[in-house]
Amino acid sequence: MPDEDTVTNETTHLPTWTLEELAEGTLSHAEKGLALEHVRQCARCAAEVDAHRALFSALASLPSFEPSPGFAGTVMARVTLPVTAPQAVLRRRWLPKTKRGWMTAGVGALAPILPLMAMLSWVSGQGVNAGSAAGRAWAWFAGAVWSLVVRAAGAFVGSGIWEWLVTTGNDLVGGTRGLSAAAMVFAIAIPLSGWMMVRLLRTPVGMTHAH
Amino acid sequence: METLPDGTSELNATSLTDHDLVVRAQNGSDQAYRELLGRYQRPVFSLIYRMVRDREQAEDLAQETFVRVFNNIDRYDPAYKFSSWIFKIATNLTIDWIRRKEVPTVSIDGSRYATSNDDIEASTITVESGDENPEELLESRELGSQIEVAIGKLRPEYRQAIVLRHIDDLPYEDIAQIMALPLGTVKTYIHRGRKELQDMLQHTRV
Repeated sequence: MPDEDTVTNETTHLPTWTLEELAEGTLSHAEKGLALEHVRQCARCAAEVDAHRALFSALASLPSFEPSPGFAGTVMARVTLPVTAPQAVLRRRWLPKTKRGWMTAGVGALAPILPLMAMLSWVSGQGVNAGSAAGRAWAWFAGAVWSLVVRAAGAFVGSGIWEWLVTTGNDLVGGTRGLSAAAMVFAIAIPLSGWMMVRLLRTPVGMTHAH
Repeated sequence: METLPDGTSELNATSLTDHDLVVRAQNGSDQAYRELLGRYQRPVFSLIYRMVRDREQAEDLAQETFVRVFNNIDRYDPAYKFSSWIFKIATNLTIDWIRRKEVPTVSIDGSRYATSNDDIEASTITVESGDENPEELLESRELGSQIEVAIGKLRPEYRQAIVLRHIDDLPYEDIAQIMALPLGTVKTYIHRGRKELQDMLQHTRV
C-alpha cells in the first residue's frame, strides 16, 4: 500500500527543473504556488526539493580561500599606475580611448577644414590642363565639393545664425573683425560640440549599478 | 588624507561603489586599486583555486588576472559590472590554463569535445575509488569536505558555473556574460553539475 502522502502515478511528479527552481526560489509567484501545492501532497517531490536545498546550502556554506599574505604586494608591484599629473588626468578624460573615438574626433576636427580645402583645391585646380582626363576629373571633384560647400554655407547664412555671429563678433572685438572672430568661434565650436555629443551618447545611463 | 588630481579625496574608500573606485583608479589612485584588490582577491582566488586545485598555480593565475585588469583599467566598459569583468578575465585565464595542461586522454568527467548530454555520458569514465595522488590528497585536505572533492571532479565548465552560481552567488545572467555562453546553456551546465554532485554525494549527508 502506497504512502498516503505520495502521488503514486509517475507522470504526476513535477519535473526536476521545476523542483530545482522551487528550491532555488527562482519560480514565478504563480508557478511557485502551484509547485508548493503539489509538493505538500507528494513525498517524493518534497524529498527532492529537500535534497536540492541541502545541496545549495552546503555549497553556499563553503569557505572562501585567502591568497598568501604577499599577494597584494606582488600584484601592485606589477601594476603600472596611470600618470597622476592633473594635465594627464584631463588629457585622459577628454582624449578618445578607442580607435572609433579617435576616428570620430578626427572627422569632427577635419569638418571645418574641409571647406577651406575645397576652396584651395578649386583655386589650385585652375592651373591644371582642363582638356586632360585628370583635369576633367579634378574639375568635377572640386566643382562638386565646392557646390556642396556653397549650398551648405548658403543654407547656414540664410538661417541668420551667421549674421548674428558676425554682429556679435563685431560688438565684442570691435570694428569689422567680427567676421574673423565668428569664423574662429565656428571652427572651434563644431568639433567641440561634436565631441561633447559623442561623449554624452557613449556614457551609459545608470552606471551606479556596478557593485 | 590623500587628495586626488580630480579634486576628490580618498576618504571612505570602502563605502564607494566599484564604479567609483574604477574611476579613481583610472585617475591614478593607488588606494582605489588596493581597495578593489581587497574586495576581489578572495572571491577571485577562491574561484581559481577551486578550478585548478593547486594553490601555487591559483596564486599565479589570480595575480595575472589582477595585473591584466589593473593595467587595462582604462578599457573598462561601465556598461558591465566590474565583478563580471574581473571574473570573466579570471575564468578565461583559468580555462586556458586547464586546456593547455590537459593531456590528450579521455577525461574521467567525459570528453571535452562532447557537445551533447549523450556524448558526455558516453565518454565519461566512472571512478568509484576515492584514490588520489599525494598532491591531490593534500589539496583535497585543504579544500576540506567531500563536497569540495566532488566539485573538483566536475567538468571544468560545470565546475565554473556551479561555483559562480552557488558559492559566489551570482545571477544566471551574470554567469552567462562571464562564460560568454547563452543563458540556456548556463542553466543546463548548472543543472547537470548539480545532478552530478548529488550523485557523487548521495552516500554522504548532503
